[in-house]
Parts: sequence; structure tokens; C-alpha cells
Amino acid sequence: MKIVIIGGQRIAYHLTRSMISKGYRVYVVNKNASFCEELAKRFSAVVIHGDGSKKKVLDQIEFMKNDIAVVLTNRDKDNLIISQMIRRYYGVERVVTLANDPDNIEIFDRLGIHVAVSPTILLAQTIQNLLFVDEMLQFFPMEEGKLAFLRLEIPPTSPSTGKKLKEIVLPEDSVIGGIIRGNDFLIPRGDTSLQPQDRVFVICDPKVQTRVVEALVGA
Amino acid sequence: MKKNTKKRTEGLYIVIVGCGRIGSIIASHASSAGTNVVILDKDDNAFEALASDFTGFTITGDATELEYLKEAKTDRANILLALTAEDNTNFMIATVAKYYFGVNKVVARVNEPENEEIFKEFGVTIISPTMLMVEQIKSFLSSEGAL
Repeated sequence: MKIVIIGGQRIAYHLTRSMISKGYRVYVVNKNASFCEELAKRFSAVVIHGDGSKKKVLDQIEFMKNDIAVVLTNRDKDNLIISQMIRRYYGVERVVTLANDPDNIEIFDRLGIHVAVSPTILLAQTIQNLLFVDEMLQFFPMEEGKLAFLRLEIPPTSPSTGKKLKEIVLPEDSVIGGIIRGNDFLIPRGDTSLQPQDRVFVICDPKVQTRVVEALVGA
Repeated sequence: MKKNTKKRTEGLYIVIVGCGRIGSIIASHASSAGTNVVILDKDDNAFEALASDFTGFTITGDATELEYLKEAKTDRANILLALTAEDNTNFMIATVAKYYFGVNKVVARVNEPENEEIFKEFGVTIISPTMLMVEQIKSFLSSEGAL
């Protein structure tokens, strides 16, 4: 089994180093000649200089069905055709493909390609985290942003402090899934009342998350 | 005028990607035959090549970005033609049209003969300018007795 890394710069470099240090056989295909030279000098990887979307270039890799291919160019259209060629021509099933454009995650998925989350999305999520109030400890968008998972700490100033859950008006598309109080985990019931320092887990539509925060943490 | 043609193509809707020499001529002809045409190109100036009586819609944008194919209402298209100069671009547009938007008939221009196989694998009808030229030149040469 070998790991074939096609395209990419920094990610390809670090992935090559990491995989080689773990003892894998690594093949690298890259259009950038100086990048290829640098990799060949530093690592014991097989380096092929060329366009990975050309069958002639891919043929040089002598793919085996159990190989793993990682497709990392900065253009999604190149990543798509490269991934499909590797799957169809050589029967390689383990192909991981970078989607640079978040819109393409769904498309790649539909076309049978296993997607690696794009750096754009990771950055967007991190920025979103920074934009939210301090009390919101964590925010995980899930399922391509169709669902948000919030972890909120209830401050003493919260309009909901001391209130029973059934008395708190939450947006329709949201539900409190659990409460951590001290070391205890509580399954919330209508009669459960919120106390300061409770950590509340909410699943909601991302569109209503600010209203959820307002209701539980305060404006 | 052209009543018969109009009747035959009434309601047909085609999306053309790439308004170069080939795309612009095809779009102009289809439009004057009464077909509903939407043509996309990255370059706004490309649409100047369309015939003056072109009545279809033009969209400026990179069709490998999903929003532009959505804007073109690709899900309603009967036919999509991917005619840009780049095979990888045409492959993405063609397979997205076929498998994401469910377009029935998808045709792509394939410049590099070596790429024809992957397009065929995905059920895309191919048009190869390279091979068309080769055939034409070969038939000329054979008519001259050189082949």
C-alpha cells in the first residue's frame, strides 16, 4: 500500500513528512518543479513532476487498488477529474479530495467523492467562533451548516437564571439537549430550572442561534 | 418566420457554457431557431460575439461555481453544452449538470483525446475538436491520394 499525494503545497509538504515518518511509502505528484525538487531532496518519497489530471502522469504511479490517494490542488475542477480518473481507471477506492469551495462539498459528495473539509470552511468556522459572545464557549456547525450545536454557560445576569425550562421562550427550531451542573449531567425536563454556571447544550437551526443566545445568556 | 422549426423546439431549454467561437455561434443559431438559450462565460466581453438577434440570456460567471449553474436554472435544462477551452472545466460542469442537476443530455468539448475516456465513463457525450480536425484533414489527404 502506498499513499499518493497529488497537488497542494504546504499541506502536501507536511502530509508527506508526516506519512514518511510513520513509515508509509509516499508518492508525490506536483506541477511545481521547484516544490518537487525540494521534496525529493528532503524526503525519501517518489516524486513525479507533472500535471496529475493527465492520464499519462497518473499511469506512472502504478496504482494498486489498496492505495490511498489524497488530491489537494487549489482548483476544485482539477481535483474532481483527478479523483474520478483515479477511481475509474485504477479502481482505487480510498480517495480523499480537497474541496476548496465550500459549495462543492455537497457536489463532490453527490459524485461519490470523499471530501476533505476545505481550509476555507475551517477558517470561516473559527472566525464565526470569535465573533460570538464570550459566554458561548463553543459552536459547531454540523451537516454543512444545516445544524448548529451550541454550548453556552449561563451567567447570573441571564434573563433565564432561576427559570424553569418550560417558562423560557426559545425559538421554535431549537432544543436544549443537556445540562452540565458542576460534575452532574442533567437530562432537561420542563421543570428543570436553570442556575448560574450551568452549561447548556443546544441543538438548533443556525439561523436562530443568536436568538437562542439572547434567551439563555442575555443580549 | 421559421414556423416549423419553432414548433419543433418549443419549450426546449439549453444551457451553454463558454461563449467562445464555438459557443457563440451555437447559441446564436439555437436562439434564432426558437430554442430558449442561456449562455454563460467568465468574461463579460465574450457575449459581444453573439448574433445581434440573439434573444437568450447571458450570465457572467465561472460555471464551475455552483451558484452560476443554479442561476442558469440548469435543473430545468433539456440539454447542457460544456464548450470551454479547458477539459477539466468541462468535465466538472458536465458531471455536475448530469449528476447534481439531473440534466438528461450533456455534451462536452474534449480537446485532449486522452481525456475522452473519462468523459465517456461518466456518460457525457463528447465532441472532440482535435479529432474532428484530424478526420477532416485525413479525408482531404486521402482525397489527394496522400493517405
